[in-house]
Order: sequence, then C-alpha cells, then structure tokens
Amino acid sequence: MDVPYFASLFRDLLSGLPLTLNLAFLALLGGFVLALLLNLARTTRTGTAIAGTYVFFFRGTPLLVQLFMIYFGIAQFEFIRSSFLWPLLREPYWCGLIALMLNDAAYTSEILRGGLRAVPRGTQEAARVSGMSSLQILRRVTLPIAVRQALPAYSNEIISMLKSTALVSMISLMDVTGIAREAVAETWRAVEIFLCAGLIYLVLSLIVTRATSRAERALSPWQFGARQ
Amino acid sequence: MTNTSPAVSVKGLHKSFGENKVLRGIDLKAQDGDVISLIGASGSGKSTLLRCIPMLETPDSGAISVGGKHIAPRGGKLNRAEERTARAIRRDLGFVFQNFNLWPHRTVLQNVVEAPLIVQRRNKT
Repeated sequence: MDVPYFASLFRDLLSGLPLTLNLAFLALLGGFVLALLLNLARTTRTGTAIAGTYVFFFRGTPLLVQLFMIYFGIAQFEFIRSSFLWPLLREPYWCGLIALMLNDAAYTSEILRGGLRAVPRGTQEAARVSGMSSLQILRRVTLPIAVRQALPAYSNEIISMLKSTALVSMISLMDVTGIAREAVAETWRAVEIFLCAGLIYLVLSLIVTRATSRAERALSPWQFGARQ
Repeated sequence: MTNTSPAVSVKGLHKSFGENKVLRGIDLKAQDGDVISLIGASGSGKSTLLRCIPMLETPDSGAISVGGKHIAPRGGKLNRAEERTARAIRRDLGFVFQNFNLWPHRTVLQNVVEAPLIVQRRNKT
C-alpha cells in the first residue's frame, strides 16, 4: 500500500469535486423546472404530444450521444456560431450542463407524472371547495403530495445524475472522472485511480440516500406518530 | 321573517351525465338556521345536487345563489367571471365530503386551518 500516493491522489481527485457537484446540482435544478413545465404542458392534447416526443428522444438515446450531439453537432451550424449563444455553446461546460439538464428533464418528468397521477382526486376537490385558485391548488395541495409520492423514485434519479456527470469528462471537462482519466494517462495506475474515483461517487450517493430518506420522513406527517 | 332572502337557493337545476339525466329541475331554498336533510335512494342525485352548489359539477342549467352571490352556468367549463363568482361562493360555504378528502401531507391542525388562513386570509389567532 502506497499511502502517500493515495493521499495525493485523493487530493487531486477531490479538486474535481466542485465541478461534479456543480453540474449535478444545476442539472437537477434545471431538469426539475423543465420537467414541471413538461407536466403542465400535458394538460392539453398538443402539449401531451410534445412532452411525449421529448421524453421519447431524450430517454431513448444515450446521454453520451446527446452530449456529443450538442458539443460537436451544434457547432456545425453557421447561424449558431454567429448567434449570441455561441460564447456559451462553445464552452464544454455549458454543453455538458445543457445535455445533462435536458436528459434529466425527460426522466424527471416521467417520475413527476407518476407522482401527479397518484394524487387522490378528492384532495384537489377539497381544495377547490375551500375556495383556492388553480394556482393555489397546484402549489399547496397537488405538488406537495405529488413530490412526496415521487421522492423515492426521484432519489434514484438524483444518484443516477450524480454518476452521469462523469460523462462530461469525454468533452474535456475536468470533473472527478476527468482528473482520474488524466492521471491514468500519466501513470498507468488505472486500478488505484478509478478505485479512488469510485469511492468518491460512493460517498456522494450515500449522502444523497441519507438526505432523501430524511426528507421523506419530514414530508410525511402521517408517520410522525409511528416514528417513536 | 317573510322577506328575508334565503341563504342558499337553487332554481330549476338540471344536470345530466351523458344520457343519464340526474337532476331535472330542482328547486331548493334554505334560510339562515335551517337544517335540511336530503333523502333518496343510492344514485338518485343527492351528492350531485350538493356538488352543484359549490360548482364541483357544472350544472347544465339553473340558477344558484349563496349569500347574495348569483351564478347561472350553462354546462361545460365556467368562464372567467363565473369562476370568480364560484370561488366567492366556495369561500362562504363549508363542505364535508362523504369520505372526508383530507390532505395527507398536512397535520390535523393544518387541515383545519388551511382554508381560513389561505383563502380567507385570516391571521393565526
């Protein structure tokens, strides 16, 4: 066991952690908002078709392919290179973030749809007879119940997203995996390096698991009595 | 007591679900302090009548007034002005469902105070 080597390796890999967390957090945030919009669109027939098509494409193709399409593909178009978006879209960071976000939205919208469909109709009627507006009903009754019901499935998505950020190392970003790949290219100690990288992801997903199960309990007042 | 306007009144209420005509011209008046029982066989439209008053079901025709607010929908979705009247009516009504329809994400206390707090904007006292 080469302890000093492992110590310095960990330090190197951890310097990629901010980028990994940044990508995961922003992609999940943007993906959630987009997923919410996709579900609101599902109230109309054309909206349902659009949301369905979106999910079909982004869930049906590999994230890596989407990443390459955005990073290498979009730059082919002259009108994009001359548009105001180009300063963003030529950066691998933004391409990576956009790909992760769009991909996450597809999965999250389906998770959220399940949660929304499982909201008992009566709870919404109760909100309506107490005089709430549609927006109030959505915010105060439908969404909280839906989110609570979708949480176990959504924690899966959070963890999956956390690990998916590793793919951005393919477009030259230096996240934990990017740094690991570079270190392997220099030293050829692939087993040790990827073992360490894997350990970092493992700790992250442990934290997410703990946090979501705690959130599940906090959002279930009907279980307060059963906790002791 | 003859010229007090009724607290709740329903006139000529019609409601059908598809081919099934559930309510055919219901008239009803309730004064302040009245206790009224609706009795009928299962499926005879008791709940439908009740659900029509706060516009949980939109009647096909007829007029409803609650506490001086009138609404006379013509089936289908309520338009914007009607929706506003309906909300004002709901604010003044209490409604207990057959199976309660409590909000599972809230505590008992929160279930009770939600409507007064959020809809009527009373303060917490």
